[in-house]
Amino acid sequence: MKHILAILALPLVFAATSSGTPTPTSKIDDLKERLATKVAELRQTQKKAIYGTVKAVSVSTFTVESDTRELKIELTDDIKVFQMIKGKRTELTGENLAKDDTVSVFGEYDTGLDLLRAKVVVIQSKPRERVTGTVSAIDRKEFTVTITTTGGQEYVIDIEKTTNVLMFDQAKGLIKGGFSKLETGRTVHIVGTAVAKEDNRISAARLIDLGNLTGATPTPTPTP
Amino acid sequence: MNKDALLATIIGFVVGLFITGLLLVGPRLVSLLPKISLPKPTATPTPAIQNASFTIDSPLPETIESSSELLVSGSSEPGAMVVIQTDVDDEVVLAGQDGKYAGKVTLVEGKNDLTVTSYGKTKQEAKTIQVFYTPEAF
Repeated sequence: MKHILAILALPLVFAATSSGTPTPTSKIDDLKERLATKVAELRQTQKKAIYGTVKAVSVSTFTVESDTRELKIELTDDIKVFQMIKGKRTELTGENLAKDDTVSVFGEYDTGLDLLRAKVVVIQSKPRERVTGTVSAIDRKEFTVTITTTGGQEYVIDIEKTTNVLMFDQAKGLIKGGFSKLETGRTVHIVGTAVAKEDNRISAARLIDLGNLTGATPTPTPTP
Repeated sequence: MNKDALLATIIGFVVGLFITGLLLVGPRLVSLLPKISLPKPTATPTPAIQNASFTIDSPLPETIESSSELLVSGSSEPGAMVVIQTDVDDEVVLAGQDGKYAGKVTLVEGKNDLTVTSYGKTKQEAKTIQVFYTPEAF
């Protein structure tokens, strides 16, 4: 009789075991839930940086307008403000922030409140102009280079005494170049500042000569 | 013992016997079953690197860096000349035969526009991303 009962109990035992053991599906669900909780926690406050123009300043907050949106910034007690003044990193205070300043703000972003609690603010100068193209003309008297971009736009580049002219050498990398070595047909990258009141004219801070990548024949330019 | 109880006992006995039988004989029966083999996936040749797209793999856009030295890497056309630029620094490197490139540039504190331009045999491509840098811990 005992044996019969044991045999009869077997299906029940199987049923109990199968329902008691966590299935892989339930494990995945559990893992998903924990992951979602963690992500939600991280999303609540996360380290973020934003770049834009200061639109309004008050005692405890200011608003920054970036290319895509406007964001409210909360000034925290331990906020640090920096600016490069005459090439030196200078520490300022929150009171130095003014309307129309170009800033990068680092802090903790609260997604719930859509608010950035600022920890570090860097007052930045406007970014430099960057132009890439092929040298189409060189004025060795005026120390200017005319370049044509791939879109057909022409720019006049002023080569200053302070302009750093670099050339690419496959073996040595970037090496010191010179205005006198420039030729038409060469591909160049320019970083500089736009010349005031003149369209498409840039005062070059750096010029990188990549060589003749297009295969164009250089045209002789008159020497002064 | 009434009829219903007797019937239930018999049914239970038969079910239990069947399960026990399965437990004892099952493994041997399984080994006797014909094996079904699935067709092995055939190795597909990797696409030619020549068609690889131009990417900046590192850093990711909007990354906050704590060091002013930034390692930039990605993929381009094999052998392409790659120019990496920020507002204060430039680097020119040649992509390897696998199309991978890497170079170091310096960042300024705050926002940096990182532009990578690739000059391949047939085309010129450029990408710009924003990267932030501050040495301050926050």
